[in-house]
Amino acid sequence: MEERVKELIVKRFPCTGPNLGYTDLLREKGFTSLMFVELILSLEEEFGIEILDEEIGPGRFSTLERIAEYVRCKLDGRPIPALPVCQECR
Amino acid sequence: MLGPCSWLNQASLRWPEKEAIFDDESSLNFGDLYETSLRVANWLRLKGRPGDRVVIALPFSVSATVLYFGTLFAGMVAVPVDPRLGLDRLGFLLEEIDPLLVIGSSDFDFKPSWDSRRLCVVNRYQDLHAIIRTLNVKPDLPALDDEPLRLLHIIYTSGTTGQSKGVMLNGANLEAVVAGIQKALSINEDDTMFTALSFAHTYGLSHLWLMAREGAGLGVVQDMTRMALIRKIVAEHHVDVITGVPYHFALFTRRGEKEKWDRIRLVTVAGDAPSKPLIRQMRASFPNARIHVMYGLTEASTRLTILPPEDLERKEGSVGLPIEDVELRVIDEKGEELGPHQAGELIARGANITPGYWKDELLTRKTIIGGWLHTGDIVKKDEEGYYYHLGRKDSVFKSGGEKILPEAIERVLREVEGIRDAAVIGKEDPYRGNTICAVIVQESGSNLSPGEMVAICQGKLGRLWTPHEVVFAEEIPRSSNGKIRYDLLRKKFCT
Repeated sequence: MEERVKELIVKRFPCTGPNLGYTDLLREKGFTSLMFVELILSLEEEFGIEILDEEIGPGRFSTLERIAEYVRCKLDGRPIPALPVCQECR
Repeated sequence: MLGPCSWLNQASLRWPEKEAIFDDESSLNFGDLYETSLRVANWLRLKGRPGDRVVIALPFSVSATVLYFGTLFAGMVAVPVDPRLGLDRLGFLLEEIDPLLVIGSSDFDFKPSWDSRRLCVVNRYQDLHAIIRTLNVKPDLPALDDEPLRLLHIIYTSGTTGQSKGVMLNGANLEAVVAGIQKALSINEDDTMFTALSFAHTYGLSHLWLMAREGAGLGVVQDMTRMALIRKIVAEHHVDVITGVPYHFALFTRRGEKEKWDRIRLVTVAGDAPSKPLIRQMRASFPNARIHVMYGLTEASTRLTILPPEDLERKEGSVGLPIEDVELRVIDEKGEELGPHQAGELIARGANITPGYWKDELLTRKTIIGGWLHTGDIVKKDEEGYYYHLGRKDSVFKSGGEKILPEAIERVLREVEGIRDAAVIGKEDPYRGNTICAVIVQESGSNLSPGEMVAICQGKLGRLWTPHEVVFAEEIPRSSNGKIRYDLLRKKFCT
């Protein structure tokens, strides 16, 4: 799953760079709020999932790892993990 | 007193208990907003003198609003700045402004070399409240002159060249532009507005002017992707007016009629013309709303034209009619006025036009000629006087004697199956003047050849505008506000 999410992001947002790490903060790779909107819309399209408003929040899509984990939970119908609390990992 | 100070003074007398500004952490009614702003003004007067600049590098919030009005009541110049601005651009900005104070949050990159006495950290509204309480600063109104040309703001705009310019705005500018906006929108004291716009641009700031002048409530939020929080704020505060730029609405209305915002009576969208599919999606999500497409620029205190809602479909793609007391003309390279359906540069005249750029007399003289602001935007108007934005002057080029408008071609290219993004530039050519070169970013999994691409364009664009050359790229470089950086594209593909 991580690979598929990484491919989507690196292709769609080249500013992140090809060797984007799983725990790199997208925000530090030049991700703007415009790109986060595009990310939400393209995740829904790519994986056929519906991202609920209450699931979107600070840190939810902050790294590749978190995005992949979220998508896996949605596809398996498992509960969505809580949002990270610490300021740094948002 | 003029502009925001006089509006807020009046609002505090007429609607003292009414909710004025709120975010996800705090809320102030007009009476408290006025009183707290006066305390901030007197706190600033302890530190500096009228005319000093105060940089406010905070997201749109209750704190930013109090600091904004406090700066104006102190007779000082408010300089709102996007807190996510890179350190290098911010450093340049601060040298040019030489501010009395820079106010930012703790994760804001204060440069170590800056004089720490000029820095002030405000993370939450409570921090500001604490500063004022400990200083025991009284809320009396500092003496303020009524000089309409007194400088109130310096707003930095990057335009498409990426070079920041400080646009100066005075009380007369704001009085004029808000009167014009209000004539078209008729915001009133029963309204409560919500926006996810930035505090650092005039479109976002204009909400504070409407709030103070009309007594409407205003909700703001720092992170526009926090949809659940936005829905909560909109519901709890009975919001009935929502404003933003196209990509805000791409998120807010992505479910179409499955998720309706029934209470919304008025929507404004500016920054870019919304696409046809987005307008359909907005219609479905806001079934009871009048939707206004608008256009303007910082040098015009944010607004030049507004499209009446009943013309949204009839005048598809238009940015509407000039607001009250604004004169617009379309001119050719020689400065001659052009008639309907002829593309040319838009120039504007009115009391909302900036007196010029901060510490840049040369640029001011090049941009404002004989009282006319040369916007650098390429537009045309139709026979009924409706305006259509076609592109930026610095992106337009000639090929085979024809004027080529990249944005128009790009819009068509982006609708082609398999193309995710596109930009069009002119490459110097000894015969044609310029060849039309399309820079294409393909969708993943699509591998159209340049030849196929040109054939598709021929069908959609006709011979005159079909690109002579197609190159593929990973990404189209854009400025922080999403505008294409044609200068970088030319550097990459034309040298």
